[in-house]
Amino acid sequence: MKLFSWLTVAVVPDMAKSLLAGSRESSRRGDPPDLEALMQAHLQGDADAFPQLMEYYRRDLWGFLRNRLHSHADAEDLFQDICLKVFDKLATLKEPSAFRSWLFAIALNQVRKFFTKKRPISLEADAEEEGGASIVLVDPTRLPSEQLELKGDLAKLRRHLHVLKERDRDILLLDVIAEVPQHRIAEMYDMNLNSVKTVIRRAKIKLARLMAEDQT
Amino acid sequence: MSEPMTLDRLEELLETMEPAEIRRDYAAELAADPRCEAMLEHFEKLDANLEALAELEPAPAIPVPRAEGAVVSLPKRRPLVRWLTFVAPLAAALVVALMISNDWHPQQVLDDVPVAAEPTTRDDEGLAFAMEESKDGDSSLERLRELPAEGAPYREESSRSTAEKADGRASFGDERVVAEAPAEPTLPSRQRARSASDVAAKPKSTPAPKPAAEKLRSLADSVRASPPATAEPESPVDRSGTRQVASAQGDASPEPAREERADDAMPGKTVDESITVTGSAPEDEVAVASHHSRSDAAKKSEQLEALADEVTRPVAEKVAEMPVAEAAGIAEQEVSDKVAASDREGPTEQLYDSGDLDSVAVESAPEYDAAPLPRLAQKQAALGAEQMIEVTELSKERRKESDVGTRLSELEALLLTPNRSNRAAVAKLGETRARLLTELENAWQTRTEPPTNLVAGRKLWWPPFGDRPLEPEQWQQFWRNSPVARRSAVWLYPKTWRGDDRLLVDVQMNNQTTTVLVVFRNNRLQLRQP
Repeated sequence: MKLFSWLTVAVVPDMAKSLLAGSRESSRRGDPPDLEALMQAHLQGDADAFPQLMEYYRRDLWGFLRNRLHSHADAEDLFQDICLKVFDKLATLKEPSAFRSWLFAIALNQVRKFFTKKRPISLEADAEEEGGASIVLVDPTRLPSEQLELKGDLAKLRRHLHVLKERDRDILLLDVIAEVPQHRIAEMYDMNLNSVKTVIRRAKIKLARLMAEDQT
Repeated sequence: MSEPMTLDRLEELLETMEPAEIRRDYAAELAADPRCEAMLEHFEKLDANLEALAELEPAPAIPVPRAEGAVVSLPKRRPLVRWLTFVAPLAAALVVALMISNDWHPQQVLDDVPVAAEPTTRDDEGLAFAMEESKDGDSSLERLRELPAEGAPYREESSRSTAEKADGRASFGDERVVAEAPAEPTLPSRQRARSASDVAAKPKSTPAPKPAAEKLRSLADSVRASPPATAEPESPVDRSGTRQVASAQGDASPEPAREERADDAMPGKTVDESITVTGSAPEDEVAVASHHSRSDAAKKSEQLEALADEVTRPVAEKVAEMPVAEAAGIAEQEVSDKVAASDREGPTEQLYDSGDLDSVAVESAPEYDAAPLPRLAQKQAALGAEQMIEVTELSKERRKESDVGTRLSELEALLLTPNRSNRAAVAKLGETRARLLTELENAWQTRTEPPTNLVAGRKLWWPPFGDRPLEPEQWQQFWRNSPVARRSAVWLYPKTWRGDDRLLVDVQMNNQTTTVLVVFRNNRLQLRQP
């Protein structure tokens, strides 16, 4: 009986979450592409293979970069640099199933290089933070009042994201936005899986508290 | 009611519990604090909001490759710097390689630049190989001593000369050069000196006729008691010469110090020559006096010669074993004694008092003459056959031993700084040869180095004239056109005389040696091929 209860607390939620994430992913972006076939086509010189391959991860990559960087322009530059790097280094990827982890590992390295080499002061970022003008919600399923509330929440959330520690923020974004498996995140940061889960959990709690404090 | 809910407590609960469990277990506390309720709501919506944040803005398009693996070109900013990093050093290396291949040297460029001749340099060049006839014999030496005061052209060189002075090398114009030059004889020369002194000891032990010696001594004392004709300071050489004369008259035992330095006496000359030179002075005086009316003083001089010959023979032998400077002092003292005894006001006095070498009436023959002079024959008859045989044997030995080149350079080391103290030695060498050496030295000196550093031991400094030996004419032309400041050291090694006015000189520079013939004609120096 105890064994059953442990299984229900520790294992079932993860299984359920992964199943839910898979269904969410497929519902949000469609079916995942045949990575191995597209990679072979790309290596054989098919010019259309690479855009097809990247199209499935394009939104996640952009979301990760946009919330990691202050400036829209910097995010665009970095987006193109990462695409070129993936294009050049795709032949070195030995395990096609790990493409997502590999892609966001490159993205994370590029972001770190970006902040190491230059620390840009973006006027655009300041403008975004002050007015939240760049957030445009286009969701016909929601009422205008809901959209307005969501807009306010998202602006606060983006602002509070940068309050987090860099490592916590990156791990949270990789988990929630980039949807990199947590064991891959643990490999990236040389941590065990439970530590990654703890970091993600605490980051979410802190964001929620910041949002609540900001609301009042 | 349990503990009230706070944000901190809610954080702790959220780490271990799901929001639904907290709502179920702590519904009353959450209702009491709206901030905790809001925090819990935000926590529940957080995943959805984060996903919405990712989809907030449309993602840019994926860069599309154009053809065969090429990606859409993006602006690149590095090429210029990367090219410059290796193109500039490559160009520099290419230029250096071209310069090396063309045997180019910066010195050539510098030499091609016309340099404005400074007054001092121009004057010096005028002196170098087109020596004007000096009105005064000492004028060139005086010029040399005044050169450092002219300053700028030689300022660089003077610093080097100071350093060399600190090394202990003798400087030009320093009496130490004359005094110390014979003090370092080579080992074979010492051996020769010992052998020569052993042979020469016998004639010295032979006592001179007592009445004649006493007469001459009284004459010499009277001359010493009288004031000197010229009020010049007594040099160390003079003092040594006087000491040697005194010891030669009274003490027959050879001194060790004298033996050490005996070999340096009259390099290139034999004992017979020394005797001839020493004894020829009165004969020359007679020749000079023959131009004037033969006075009683001349007759008195002839009478004195007969007496002096008996005494001067051992003195001359001693002179032959002495350094030239000492020999000069003895000879000068001897002649001065005789002149003072014969006629102080006579015309022969200007032979030693005048500073002008041109006015010296004596033209003694410095080269060895195998034929005995008439006076030598008279001496031979007077001294006896045995003594003359010994002297002749000694002269033969010395003649065999003498190395003309080596001893000539030793002699020149002494004579390159002629002054009043060794003028008698200059006179023995011969006016023409002495002038040649003096002018040669003057030419080198005014060309190159400050006078304080010109003479270093027995060698001369000289600027470089190229990396390879040049013909004398080319050399002469080259260094005439070369700036003084850019010439380094060249050593001159006088080798042998060819007549009185020609001297073979080895010129050494950069471990290369070339031989030139220095010709002194009409008071001008010329360089020719030997």
